[in-house]
Amino acid sequence: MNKASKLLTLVLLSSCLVTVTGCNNASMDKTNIVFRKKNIVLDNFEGLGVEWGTYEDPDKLSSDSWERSLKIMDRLNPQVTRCMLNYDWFITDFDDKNDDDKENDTWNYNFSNKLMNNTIDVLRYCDDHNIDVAFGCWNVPGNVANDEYNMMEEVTSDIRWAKMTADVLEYLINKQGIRCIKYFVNSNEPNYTGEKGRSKNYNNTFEVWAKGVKNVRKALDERGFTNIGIIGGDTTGFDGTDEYFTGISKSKEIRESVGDYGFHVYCPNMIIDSGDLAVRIKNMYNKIKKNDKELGVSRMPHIWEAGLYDGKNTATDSNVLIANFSYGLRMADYTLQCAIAGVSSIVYWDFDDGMHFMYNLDGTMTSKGWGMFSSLGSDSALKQKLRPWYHSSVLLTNLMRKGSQILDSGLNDPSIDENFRSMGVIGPDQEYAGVVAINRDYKPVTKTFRVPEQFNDSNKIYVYIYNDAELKLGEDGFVKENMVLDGSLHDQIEIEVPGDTMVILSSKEL
Amino acid sequence: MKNFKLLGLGLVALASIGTLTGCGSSEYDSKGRLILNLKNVYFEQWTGEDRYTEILNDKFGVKIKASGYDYNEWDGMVYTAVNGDNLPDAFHFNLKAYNYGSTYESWVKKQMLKPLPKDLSRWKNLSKMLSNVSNVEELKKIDGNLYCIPIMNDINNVKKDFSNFTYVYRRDLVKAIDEKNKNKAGYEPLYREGDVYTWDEFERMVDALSKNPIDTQKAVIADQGWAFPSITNFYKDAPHCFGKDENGKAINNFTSANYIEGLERSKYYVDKLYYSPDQFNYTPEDNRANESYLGGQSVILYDNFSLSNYSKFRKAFKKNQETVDLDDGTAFLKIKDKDGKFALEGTENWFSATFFSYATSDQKMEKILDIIDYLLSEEGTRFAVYGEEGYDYNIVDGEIVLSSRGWERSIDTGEYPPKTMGGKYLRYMATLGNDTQSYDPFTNLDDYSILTSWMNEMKKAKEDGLLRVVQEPTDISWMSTPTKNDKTNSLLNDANVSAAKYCFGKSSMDKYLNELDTNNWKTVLAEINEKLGK
Repeated sequence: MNKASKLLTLVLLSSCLVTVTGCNNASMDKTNIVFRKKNIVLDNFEGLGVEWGTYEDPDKLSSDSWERSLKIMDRLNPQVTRCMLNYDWFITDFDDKNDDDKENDTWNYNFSNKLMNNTIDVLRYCDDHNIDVAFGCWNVPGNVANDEYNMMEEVTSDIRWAKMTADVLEYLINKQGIRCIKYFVNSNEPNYTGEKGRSKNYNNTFEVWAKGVKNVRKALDERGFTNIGIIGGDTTGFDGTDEYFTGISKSKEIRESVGDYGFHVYCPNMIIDSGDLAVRIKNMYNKIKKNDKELGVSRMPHIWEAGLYDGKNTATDSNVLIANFSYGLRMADYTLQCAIAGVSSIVYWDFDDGMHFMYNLDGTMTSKGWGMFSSLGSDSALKQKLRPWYHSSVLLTNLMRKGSQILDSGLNDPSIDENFRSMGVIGPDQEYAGVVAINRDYKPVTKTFRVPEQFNDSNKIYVYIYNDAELKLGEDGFVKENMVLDGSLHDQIEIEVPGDTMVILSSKEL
Repeated sequence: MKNFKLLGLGLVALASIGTLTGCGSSEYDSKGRLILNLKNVYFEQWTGEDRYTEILNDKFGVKIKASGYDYNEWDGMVYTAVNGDNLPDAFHFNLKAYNYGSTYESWVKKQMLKPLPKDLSRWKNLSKMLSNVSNVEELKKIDGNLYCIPIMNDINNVKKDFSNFTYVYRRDLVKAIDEKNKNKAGYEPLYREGDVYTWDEFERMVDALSKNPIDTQKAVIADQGWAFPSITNFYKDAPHCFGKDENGKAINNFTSANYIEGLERSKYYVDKLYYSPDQFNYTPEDNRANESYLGGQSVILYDNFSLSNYSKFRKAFKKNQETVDLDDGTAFLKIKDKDGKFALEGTENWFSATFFSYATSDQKMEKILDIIDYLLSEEGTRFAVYGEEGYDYNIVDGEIVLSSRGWERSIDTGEYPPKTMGGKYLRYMATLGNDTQSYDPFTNLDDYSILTSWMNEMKKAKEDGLLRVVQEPTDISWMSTPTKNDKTNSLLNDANVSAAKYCFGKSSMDKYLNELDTNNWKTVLAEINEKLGK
């Protein structure tokens, strides 16, 4: 008997053998979990993905590293991504005409540089792999110390921002033929303001940002880019997001100018561990829905940066726990909680340490450690290795495909069980089904699962176990199933889920 | 003064109107919680968005909004906020005896500050802490009110009155010289057990280190820019501008006979190249002396070795000097002066203070005091240090047991990652937290043990009469006179520059003395002596 089967026992039971175990609530069976369509929380999930922005120093990326990165991306197989850049990289010949009139300012672009080349490489990959992209610019251009374009006072409401945005998109779409851009990010985390002289965002407010959204919407529409939505918020944290979402939802003009309700969550461990993340998101959405019934209907809720707060080292902008197994388990739990709360797509932060850098006072730069690996040859071998959370993300990304239905167990409320969560997934066009079970307790728990709804059954169950003892990698270094069983998720499957473990059962190989 | 008062009343009136018309909602967040705006240099990038602050928010019915000062711009940022009447509810200022008159006293008179309640019995832990603040009466002397919470260094060690400004040295190099010379007839080893050196032994060691340099070495000693010339510490009677003569009359410390003797000795050290010529260009704000030691350019360093500084220093040393034994490379050097005593600069038992804006409502102030009082309690201290009971830690048989979930070590480094704990940040509004260092999971126990051992040795020396704590006379320190309030800071800075210029041969002794005999010096001393009745 191998190690895995000691920890995990699977027993296929016919439904007639099921004994309903007793529980406090007569109508609630916490052991035998059935995923039914009446518990669908998302009927048309939009997929999972990862931030894959322009590499700030493409020279550091060797062709071998790039090829390796693409293989890693292939296996992750995301369906949505966020790609950010800076307009400063391309603006040339800026002329403010020596007056206060911003309308008459002129400038040119030099798109023939390595940063744009890298951006196009990323976007072409997305085109080729049918990945939806939220494309955007981090901040208004200019150096924070001298604000040479005089844009930081008005931030994204500066009329030139809208023009620059339309120009860059026109270049990418009309000149380069890029098709994957579905959203525009009207600056990163606009609610994260900071102080003058240190932050380009110091003067931002919701009203300023909203004015920018209207300007950009108009500029995009005038260029014929009506199908590109503007991210509604891209804010960070619950408080700041609540302010922006409320502002968006209350104004007809603004809510009709945005394409979604999108925000960032760097979640404290305690909130994930207790199951409270789902509760918080649901509460926020319920509040916003009172103003905007289209939330979750035509304006979908998205998370555009997903990560964990604990372990963040501000000085290096890295997460010290990024290589721990627990990071992957918590991000899986995060994903599950968001999905059952109705979040329609999630973009993890981020793909590769090699994309972003901290620029130190002594002139050196160090990579920011939030990735699934590092493509930098200069980083240690340990950093270049695929981190555990890459593997847990691969499983979820390949299970929760665009067009999937997400089924709640009805038992995920932390008041029912703080430590155990599960969801069912029925793939697009009912091609497959899967179950994600996450046990956050130290002790193992035994549960049964069944997906009685219609799907194309392979009569095989691929079993994946994510914990530090059982994760199985193939010779290629990528995650593979721990076992394949003959059977069906239509039947009742009994599982002992070890402590601090995610188990995925899937009728298709992930 | 009048303008400020009127401005204050005007703002209060406007705020009241706002409340009446329903526009006062900025006082409360969307959940109806009272918003507290707090600013402190230790908050750095903490904004109050962490889970632990949320717990405190819920517990006290508030919404804490925190922001930090940049250390190098701290004073200026506070002055700007005071002058612009743009103070948060509670703010942090580097109150010192020498700026007392120009800040604390001036702000009180301009009615920019809100005093603490006279009756603090409701806040027992805070009240107890304040009763131990050194020279607290000096802060109450204006009108009997206390207008700030002095931030205690260590609430469990309130009698410590000396600073941690001292030397570390490369013990390994001293031992290496001894090793090289051990077979020479009559060779007297340099190294002294326990790193305790008499003045003559110290000078002999410095000379030997100068004559046996390592490859990277450019000098023997490096003083942080604010501390040069540290050699004078073994001579001078007062740490800063003012001392007293044998008749109790205030004098210019920088022209006292003892200081001049120390200055001459410092010049000798410069002339002998024990100090690098670069030392002259070090500024109070930079860290170049520290960097010089870490890079092996100097082998004795004078700096402020608080635990956080010492830990940071040792970590950097380990990285920079991989082949050197860490303890040998960062050893405390204990030097006795010619009288056989250690000499350390005196200090209050607190550093800086938390102030309340005059516009802060009673309700807000009480909430802030409630939070501080809780964080000083046994339970609150546990919360600040460990986190939430049941999640971050449990108490098992009376012992704290950290949970692996709340306290997870990095698989890469084996260390606990930074943990943003609002309780810990907020506790800095009342104490630097030295009382919790011995059990704080983030404390490096090796660093702590070495530093504590040094402090205990100095404490014992003080008890035995073997430590000279260099203090400014209290009645002068906290005295307020117009010129003292206005000029002390610049007099101090100018005097330090003059001393450095003299040591590095950029001016003569006559010129030095002239620079320290200006009208400002004469006026300030006259004002002080008038108040002293001398």
